[in-house]
Amino acid sequence: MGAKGASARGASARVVVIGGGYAGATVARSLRASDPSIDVTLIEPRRTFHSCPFSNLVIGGLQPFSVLCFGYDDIAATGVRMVFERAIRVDPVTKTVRTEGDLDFHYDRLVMAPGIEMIWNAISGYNEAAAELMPHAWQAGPQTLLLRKQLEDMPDGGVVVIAPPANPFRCPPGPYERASLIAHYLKTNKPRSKLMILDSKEYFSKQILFQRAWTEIYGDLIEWHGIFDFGAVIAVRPLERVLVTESKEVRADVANVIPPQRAARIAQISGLADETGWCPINPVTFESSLQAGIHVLGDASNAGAMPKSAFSANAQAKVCAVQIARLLKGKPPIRTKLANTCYSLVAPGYGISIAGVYEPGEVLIDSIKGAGGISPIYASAKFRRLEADYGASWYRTITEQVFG
Amino acid sequence: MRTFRLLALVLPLLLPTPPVEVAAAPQSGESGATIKLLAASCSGCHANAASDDTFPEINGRPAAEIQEAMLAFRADERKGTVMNRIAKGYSETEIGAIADYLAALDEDAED
Repeated sequence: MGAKGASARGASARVVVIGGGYAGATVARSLRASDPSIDVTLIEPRRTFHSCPFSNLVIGGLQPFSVLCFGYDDIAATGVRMVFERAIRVDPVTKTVRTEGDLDFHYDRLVMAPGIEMIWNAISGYNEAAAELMPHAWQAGPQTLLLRKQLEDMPDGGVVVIAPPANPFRCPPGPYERASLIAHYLKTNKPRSKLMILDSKEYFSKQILFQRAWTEIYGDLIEWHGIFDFGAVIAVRPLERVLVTESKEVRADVANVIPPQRAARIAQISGLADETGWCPINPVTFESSLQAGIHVLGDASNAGAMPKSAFSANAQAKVCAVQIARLLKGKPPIRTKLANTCYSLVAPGYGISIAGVYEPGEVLIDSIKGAGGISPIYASAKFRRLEADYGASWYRTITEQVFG
Repeated sequence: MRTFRLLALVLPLLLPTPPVEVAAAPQSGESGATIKLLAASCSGCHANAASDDTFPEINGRPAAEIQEAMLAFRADERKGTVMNRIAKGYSETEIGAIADYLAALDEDAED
């Protein structure tokens, strides 16, 4: 009995991570770096990761698709066990994860970082089949290429429509960076074309910066309609490429419908999501408020004021790794602050950013007042260029850090 | 001169968590873990692993330099892009501790 207890204590603690995106890959690596005695398994169905950050540059034709692709060899080299399977079930009582290939993985602590899933038919008629005609391109990969191809095939004088969802969703400034870079492509190659944003929101991230830059750079090429201005798309007819709002029907040559989202399937069926569709967490440890021993990171979580961004996911994962290593040793977690910075490219050489600093509140992660915010409304061309360069550098840095 | 003035201003505020202790053992003990967590977001951009040299290198840089820069960003006395906005989220004590932590890091280590 005593010997068995000692050997159980001596055995390495096991952490299983579900999802190999920015959050999951970072937490797996950081756990190994925090404490090499921790046995870390990363379960991820795809052998190649496709990054959402920078995918708007591919859609706009500024970067090749290959810039989004990363393998897991370097992560495996840090001692993380890679399992290329889909996790299909979590049993929080026996602390076991089952994969599609019927493999079982026992964990002492589980990290759930599966990202998002689309809520099909939230927009009437917008389902998986519709996404093949009206791509969302909000999970990078074939969808990114499909949207790019549709833009390339569109004749000059065509109408591109982007339909972003209400908050919260993955990458709040993303649709507007996308609009900017598609506008850049159209202005350069198909200058008689138009881009219309049919938005389900009243206002959007970095709005004043985007809209001023659009007027300055693209004239009247981009038209934005918010929810109070017939913007919200309630239905689509994919075969006709028609988007239906409360008061208008708009026919698009290319329609990019970004539907409402929620935490990915495995988080839903594991009892980690609440009625909002996202996973409530302890703001210090990122441990689920609904299931003990399971931490939720990245876009799937409700991280309060922190946006669903790769920067946030990466920062949360670094903090969570330290907290898990402490909890496994019976040490108390430590309150800390986190920061986020999101760059958006409005045109080549023209970047803008939004930043925030955050701390745990009573229930959620709160934004620290007086800190953070958007780039200055009035800034020199040099300032905008610098932020464009920083955005590109951030992408090289983060991807090398996480996947390199 | 400027460095000295800023340090003189800040040092009394650092007394509750002596920076010497932090610098001596950045990765061990409770205060070490606290500061490591506080500095975790820095490496989102300022990472050693990166081959990119657009972002200023901060690991292994003298603590006084980092502290002076952060306090100047915080007070908008130094021009920056995003650091002015980020620095405002941290207290002078936290900035001092982060500076000591980063200074003690190996500039070539993977973080």
